[in-house]
Amino acid sequence: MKINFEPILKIAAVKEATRLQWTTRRASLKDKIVSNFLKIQVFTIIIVAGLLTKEVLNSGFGFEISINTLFTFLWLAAVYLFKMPGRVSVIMSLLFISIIPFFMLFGAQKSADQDSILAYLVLVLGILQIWRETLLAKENKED
Amino acid sequence: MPLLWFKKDLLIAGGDGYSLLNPAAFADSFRYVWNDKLPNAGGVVLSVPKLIPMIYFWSILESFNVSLRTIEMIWAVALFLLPGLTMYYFMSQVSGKGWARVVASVFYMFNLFVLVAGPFQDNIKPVFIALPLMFSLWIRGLDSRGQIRFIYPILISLCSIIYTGSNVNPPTVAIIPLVFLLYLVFRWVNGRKFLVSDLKFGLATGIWYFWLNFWWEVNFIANILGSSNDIKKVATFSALGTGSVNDFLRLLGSWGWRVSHYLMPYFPYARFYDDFPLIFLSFLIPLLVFSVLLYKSRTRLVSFFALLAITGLFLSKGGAEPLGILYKWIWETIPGFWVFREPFSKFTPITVFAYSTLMGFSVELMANSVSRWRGKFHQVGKFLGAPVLPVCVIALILVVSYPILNGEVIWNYWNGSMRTYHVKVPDYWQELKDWLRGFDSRSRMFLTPIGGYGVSYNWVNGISSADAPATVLIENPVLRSSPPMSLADGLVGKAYDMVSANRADEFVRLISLLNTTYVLQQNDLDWRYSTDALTPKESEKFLRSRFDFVKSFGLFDQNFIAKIPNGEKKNSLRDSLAVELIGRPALEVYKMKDEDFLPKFYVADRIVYSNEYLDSLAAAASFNDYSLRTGFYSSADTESPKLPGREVFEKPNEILFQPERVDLTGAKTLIQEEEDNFAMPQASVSRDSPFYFLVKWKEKNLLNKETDLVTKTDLELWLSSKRLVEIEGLLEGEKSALIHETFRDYRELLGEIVSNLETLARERSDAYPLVAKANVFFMKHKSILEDIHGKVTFEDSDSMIMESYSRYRAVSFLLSQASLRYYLVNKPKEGIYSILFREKQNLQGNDSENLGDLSFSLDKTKISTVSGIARERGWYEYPGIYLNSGHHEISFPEVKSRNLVEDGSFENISTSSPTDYSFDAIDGQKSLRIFTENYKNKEISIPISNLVRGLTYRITFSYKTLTGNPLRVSMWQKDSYDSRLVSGGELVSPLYSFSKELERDTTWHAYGRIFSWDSSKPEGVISFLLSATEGKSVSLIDDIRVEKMSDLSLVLKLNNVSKAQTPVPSLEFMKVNPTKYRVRVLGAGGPFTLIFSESFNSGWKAHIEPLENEEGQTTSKSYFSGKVVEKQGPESYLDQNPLTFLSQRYLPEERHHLVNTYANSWYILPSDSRGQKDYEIVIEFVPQYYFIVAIVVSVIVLLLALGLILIYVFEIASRGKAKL
Repeated sequence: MKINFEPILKIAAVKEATRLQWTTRRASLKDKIVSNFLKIQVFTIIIVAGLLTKEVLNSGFGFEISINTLFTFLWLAAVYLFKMPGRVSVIMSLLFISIIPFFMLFGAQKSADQDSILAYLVLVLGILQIWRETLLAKENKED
Repeated sequence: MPLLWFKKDLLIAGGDGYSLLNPAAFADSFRYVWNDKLPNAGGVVLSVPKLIPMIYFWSILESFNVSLRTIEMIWAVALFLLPGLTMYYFMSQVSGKGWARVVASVFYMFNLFVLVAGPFQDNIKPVFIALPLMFSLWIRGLDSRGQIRFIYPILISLCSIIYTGSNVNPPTVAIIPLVFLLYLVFRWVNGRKFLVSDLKFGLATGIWYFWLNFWWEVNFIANILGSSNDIKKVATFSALGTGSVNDFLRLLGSWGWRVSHYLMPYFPYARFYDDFPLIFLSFLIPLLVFSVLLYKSRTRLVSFFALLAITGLFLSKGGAEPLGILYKWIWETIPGFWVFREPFSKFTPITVFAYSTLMGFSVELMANSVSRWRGKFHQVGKFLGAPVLPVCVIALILVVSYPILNGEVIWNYWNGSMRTYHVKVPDYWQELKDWLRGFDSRSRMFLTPIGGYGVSYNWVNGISSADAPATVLIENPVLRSSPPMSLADGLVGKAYDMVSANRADEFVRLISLLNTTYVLQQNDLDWRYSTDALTPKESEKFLRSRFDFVKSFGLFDQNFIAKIPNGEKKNSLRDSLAVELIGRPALEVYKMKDEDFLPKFYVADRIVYSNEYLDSLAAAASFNDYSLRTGFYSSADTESPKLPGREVFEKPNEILFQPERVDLTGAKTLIQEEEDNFAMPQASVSRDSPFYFLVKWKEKNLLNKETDLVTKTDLELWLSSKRLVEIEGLLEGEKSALIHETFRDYRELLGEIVSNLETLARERSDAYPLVAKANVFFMKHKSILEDIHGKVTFEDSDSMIMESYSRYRAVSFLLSQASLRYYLVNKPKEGIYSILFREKQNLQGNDSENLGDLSFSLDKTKISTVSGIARERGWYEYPGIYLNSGHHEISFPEVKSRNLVEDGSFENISTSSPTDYSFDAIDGQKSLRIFTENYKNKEISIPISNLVRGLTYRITFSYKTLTGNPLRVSMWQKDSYDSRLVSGGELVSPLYSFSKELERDTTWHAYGRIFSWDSSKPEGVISFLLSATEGKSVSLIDDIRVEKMSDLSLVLKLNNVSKAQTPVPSLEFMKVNPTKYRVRVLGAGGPFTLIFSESFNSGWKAHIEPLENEEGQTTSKSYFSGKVVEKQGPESYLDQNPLTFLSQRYLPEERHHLVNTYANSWYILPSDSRGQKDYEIVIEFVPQYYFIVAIVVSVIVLLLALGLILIYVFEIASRGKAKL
């Protein structure tokens, strides 16, 4: 008995094509996300800033931890994707620190607290990055 | 710089640093691990390490007749400058440039942490000195190779001597090994391959450190481990999550930084740091510190110190965000980490150390960068880089820490109980000390009035002190109020209660048990700011009634009073200083009457057992039944917690049984609180979820872990509520099978809860809060069941719900006794008891209850015996009550007492002001009407009189809100209320007992609350405040009642359990030193109980020796017609080979007992002396011998260390090699 594989092959081909299409789409989406990451991040920062402002205006908003965590993870992602050196994180942290007295002076204590938490978290990240860079540089030198 | 802090002729002392009045005062007593001077009735002192360097520094200089002020100045200079010098040394080892060293050193000395911690912090400062030095040696040691490596552990250990005294506070010194460990980890991660050799190096350092410090470690570690739970209980204060990172970044963050006390903030200059320009300048510090990370030419150490800085910040901020949850987890999980309950003060030195070095590196790199400017800016850059930039940074550091520069860091204000740190000890204290030296400097002295932590003294400048200055200023051991760390502290506290209750006889009885000879009335203690303290006049009356006046010192005259700072805002309180003190001596010495005095050693002539130990003792102290030499024993520390079990050795003559008071008043208050804060659990995983088995598993585990029935029932209560919440969730999905199953679980839990509660209610008075809680929960359960009744469809649901209701009622019944005074008697020894009771407070007149004709119920049966027999001091006795050894209940009906509000029904309210009353009344014809409108407040105050401190009252009234806002009711002490009004609505002194906003209810509503009166003043005020927004607010109040809730002391007495009487032998005792006594026993005819009135400690051991000759002894005192003789001889530090304790045959510990709630007793049998009637009992504190042996070991190790260093130096010199 002769078996006609054609319909089966066709189905398989269609399935494969669909799979490839989805893989391509996913890759393309990933590329798009990666290539537009800066924009996405800026957009997110704006949202975060908006939330912060809202938080300042409405006390007891309760988003403190999530905002800090969100920002730190975003920053971590940016560091990883854009291969930013540790010094950039340190500069970011120093910027945050320099803003704290202004917040405090104008009575925005909650924002000052938020700002200092971010400063600390980004500073921790920066210092760990710098340490890692030092270790990598040393390894390269030894190689 | 520190010299500028000192004012002419004045010392700097106060607060926790009160011992700076003269630390050398502790030199003698700290040579012994048992200190009979400092703790109440003696105790192990953990401050022995303080001998080096601080106490000996004072002692040595004092022996050269250097004045105390000069010594303190030298000490201050050393504490301030030495950290800078060691930091300079450290930087010189790791950085080339001089400016970096100077900047780091300056920052290490002048920073905001030093400002907050205080420049005299004698625990932290020595650690500051040692840390750079030791860390420098640690780095160099780890990097070194060959023979030289063995010398570094020795040097590091020798450096540890610098901060020996800081070891009294282990968390303070813990940062040093922590920094060492972090550096080791850093090295290993950085790829160093000397892991094993590094570990060996660390181990060698640890071993040298251990043996060199062995002399203080040996007892300190044993005792701190033994007492850590007690310390944990007392050290309730914690500042885990205070402050914000923005403060920690600036090295601020202390819990008290922005906190005020009374009229002033703790740090008056703190506000400037939140304002221009200091806010910017202080944030420049972390900016400068971390900017070092921006330079590429930074060294490897910069990474380490940056990591150290963020670690220090993480630890010092404790539970504050970010990552605070991680710290809290560590705090709760790691054993012993609870000591870091104020992480800011313990860990910030790590940050300071890291900041200082980073600051040095930062300035160095910045200066290098600037000085490398090219072209036309080259010269400018060089100039800026070398002197200008570092000098500017130093200027910045100094400006930021300006209070250290100008001396503001030393507190110099009047703020109620907080007085200046610039002090001068009044001459009368020296006169007292000199007089006591000639008269009697060994006997115990009880201090009145009650003091405690943070009490102030009316000296010319004033002083606030964490402990009584008498501990430093006189040589006699003192008994004073202190946190209940030891058993004797509890008894001392009980004695002060007797002062408050005006019960002089009982006070005398209690302090006689403490071997008190004198009472020192300190009229210079500012009673106005000491809770429970009697005024000087009241104290005089109290003491003169029962003591012999001996001598007075100092005199408060107009001139003296004028020099005492008195910034009190309340006129009456301010003026009372002069009114009370003028013409009164500053110090008065009273002596116990001979018939009241109990010597340090005596033989008990009567034995009494009791269960609730201290309370029973206090009650027994008021009975005339007991001779002075009665020994009171607790049955609570025997195997059976309630039954006296010591008959094996000592036949008790009587047993006192203190029933457990069921705090139904507290339970009722708790119901109010539970109702206010009630929350049902949430069921995040539904019963029909596939993961529900995890919920069951977790709950089962939790229940299995609970061993205590109260906590287990509490958990079951929570779980039963959860089941109901689950049922509510299932109702929406109409899953009747699951509902049935869940309800079955609920019923099982409910059955167990009710059964447990019924058992607990019979046996444990501490279970009643849980009964109250269950009652509140069951009210909620009932409303849920009413909601779901009819919606559930399974079989027998109606009967099951009804059954649940009946179980709720069973629990509610347990609380139905709430109108009674209710006591539990658990497993007393079977016999015929007398029940004795009296009012807790010494009340007179209408407040007093007729206890002689009081009906009470035993096990729900009314007792109809003869009337109570009136006994001494307010006691009434009802004899002939039979109790078996089961569980019993005694209840008394609550007494209706008179209303303390004069016209609580408002019937006599003036008819001329019709707006003030209404005919809408719940009691009588009228009610009080309160009216206000248009954003105004209206406040009505109703006076209450005859309130008594320590008593519990109930306030009840009816109210309704006709329109507008609801009423707020608050209860005030009258003076506080008046001062509040004086300040035009500003709450200068918000000392109200409670304040509550009432419900907005347009029908009559009843309000009730129970409160305790804590003020010594009998006048109070009930305040009703009504506010209005737009329009009107009108409320009515009626039938206000404030009534005393009666509280009884209750004791059960089982008489003549045994009539065992043995001949009481004569005693002659002599103190060899604070850790050793010799007691000669003459004419012992049988077993007897020897009582030693020093705090109980299992380290006290007794052994029996043949009689020695009495050379060198002189009779000093004789008591009980010569039956007890106290002899005195020269003090001997060591009168035998310290190792003999190893072979000594001590009396067995089973016969060493706790007596009189704090003291030692030994039950001596004739066989102990092998039938001899005359012999000597030597009582010694054995750990003292460990201490002496440990001193010898440490001295040998020290000599060995110095010898090895010398050998090494000579070897190097002979080889002509380089320095270390």
